[in-house]
Amino acid sequence: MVRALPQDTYRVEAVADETAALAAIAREAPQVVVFSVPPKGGQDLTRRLRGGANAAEAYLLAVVEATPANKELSNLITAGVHDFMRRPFADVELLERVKAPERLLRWSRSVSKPCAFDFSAALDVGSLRSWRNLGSLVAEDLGEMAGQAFAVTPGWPTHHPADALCASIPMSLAGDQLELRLSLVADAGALAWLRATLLGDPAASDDAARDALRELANTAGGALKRAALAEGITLTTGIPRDDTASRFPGKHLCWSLKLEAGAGCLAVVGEIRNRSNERISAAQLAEGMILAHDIRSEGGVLIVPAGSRLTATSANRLAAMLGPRYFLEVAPAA
Amino acid sequence: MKSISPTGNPHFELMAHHLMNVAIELFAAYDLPIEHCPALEGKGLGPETYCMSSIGYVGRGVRGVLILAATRAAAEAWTSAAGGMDCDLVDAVGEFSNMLLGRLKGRLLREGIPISLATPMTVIGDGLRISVAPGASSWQLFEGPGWHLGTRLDAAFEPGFKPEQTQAAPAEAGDAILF
Amino acid sequence: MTARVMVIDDSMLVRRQVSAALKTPGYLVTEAIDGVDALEKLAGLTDMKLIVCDVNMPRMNGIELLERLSAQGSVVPVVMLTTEGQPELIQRARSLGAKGWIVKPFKPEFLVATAAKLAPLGS
Repeated sequence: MVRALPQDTYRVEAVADETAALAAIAREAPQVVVFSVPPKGGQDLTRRLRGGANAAEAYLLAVVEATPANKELSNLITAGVHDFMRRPFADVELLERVKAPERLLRWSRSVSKPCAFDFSAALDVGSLRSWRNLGSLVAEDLGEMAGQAFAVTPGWPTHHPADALCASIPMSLAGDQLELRLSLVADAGALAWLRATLLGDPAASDDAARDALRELANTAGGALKRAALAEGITLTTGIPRDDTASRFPGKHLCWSLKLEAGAGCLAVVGEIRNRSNERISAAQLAEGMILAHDIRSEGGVLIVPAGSRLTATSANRLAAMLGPRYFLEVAPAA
Repeated sequence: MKSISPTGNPHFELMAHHLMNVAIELFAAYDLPIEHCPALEGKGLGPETYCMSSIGYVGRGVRGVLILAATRAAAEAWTSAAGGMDCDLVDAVGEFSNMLLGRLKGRLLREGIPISLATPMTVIGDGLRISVAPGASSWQLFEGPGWHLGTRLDAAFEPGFKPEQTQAAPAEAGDAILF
Repeated sequence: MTARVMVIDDSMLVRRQVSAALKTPGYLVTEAIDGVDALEKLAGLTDMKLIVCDVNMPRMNGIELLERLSAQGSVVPVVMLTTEGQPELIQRARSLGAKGWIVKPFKPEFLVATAAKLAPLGS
């Protein structure tokens, strides 16, 4: 097996037994471990190799006899083997099997994730700094808008009524089939402050108050969007809308933003939703849909880039230009 | 561990690596799971090739072509996934190649390699062959449920090419920019 | 001495804030709720000196409005006022003829200074 792996490409260490293997793994932290599975006890051996120091991220390639039982293979995989080869095998087969994890390792390192050998490249929103720090991020921009600082604490405010006024803004990641929803929930004190300070009229109408809360949600969404952009993530912002607070707090990320002098409190809530993209005819395009890929003219000129949110204007224009036989992938309107 | 780079070009190897990932993701999104088959890689699909779609691309210091090759069974499966009777085979294959390069574009943008894409050109017929490209080029072959597909990425880099270091920072709240 | 400015935003609060900021030094402010509304109103007004426009709006967004104004040969300067900060979007607006980009939440003094530069009162 050692001879099958080119010395100028791989650093190979060969050991004769389990004890030496565990010691070598602990010392060298190899990326790939190739091991022969004994006639009995293969599953236990795998577990011990997997459990050894520096072994958690190693790719385990098991070499089995020519006709192993399906149950045995299943047990090996359950125990932590990533791939297996049957004896006898050609050198080139070992080389090919060892190459495979290399690409995965390079990818996982490039995205700074633990090596999980997961073929899915789905974004882990929870790993974004901008998402984890959403409360502070929003508080900063809203504070700028409001002319005052908010005191930010994690968690749902203690006295928020279930029927509090709520506005939310959807933010789409069409390529990842995810939608983030950022909501602001205002208690009575926050609403009074909003009327008096932002609108300049303590007797401002409910419609005006809702509009102002929607604009606060819009500002909050903008803060998240710009922060995510700095992390290389481009969100497509939707239009802020009135929402209900009855589903909160629930299993959502939330913060309390307290106004000065106990004047009131805004709750900031972040939700992550899976939204499957749809393939539709251009004739079915509608306002609010988000393109999952570029649209180009016949000459190759970019008409609308991927990630664009369609308005009625652009939806009608594309439908007329592309015709019903042109199919597109879109994230559905939020 | 030194990386294996058949072309000797780490930038090309990075592009090929991303291409493999986006191909798997794209077809999975249409319930057409595919598996990369490194053992089959060589000179494309061979005589089974029934359709090819090619799209040119150009970036700063790099240009090339992405070719998507498919067997007849693959093309028919994609046509069905793309809309059945309303979508013919040439359209479907072209569309998939467009979506494939579009996804690759997104990945490369994050790597500091922004590219612009041309429109796909698709041909169908028995025994299609394509000329060898200058510059870096490699095939990747995939196996789907009862069919095969291949992607060939060609890239010619200008001397001294390197990915862009950082993207321009986004504007901040309160910024006022006059052009 | 005065000059007419149009503010286009689907948020009443923003229209109110922009109006308040620009009325103070003496601008006349016309409001529109989105790009479609803006085009209808602009068709009936010949003395517009500046447009302050949001990007994300229903029916017709700010970029689409820029495209339309450019196609019409409009010479009225347009400044975008938006939560967006994406460099590509800023560049796109610039290439369509926009004269500026302000990120919300905005500082009223910056808006007034921008208006003074692009549409001086009494010019």
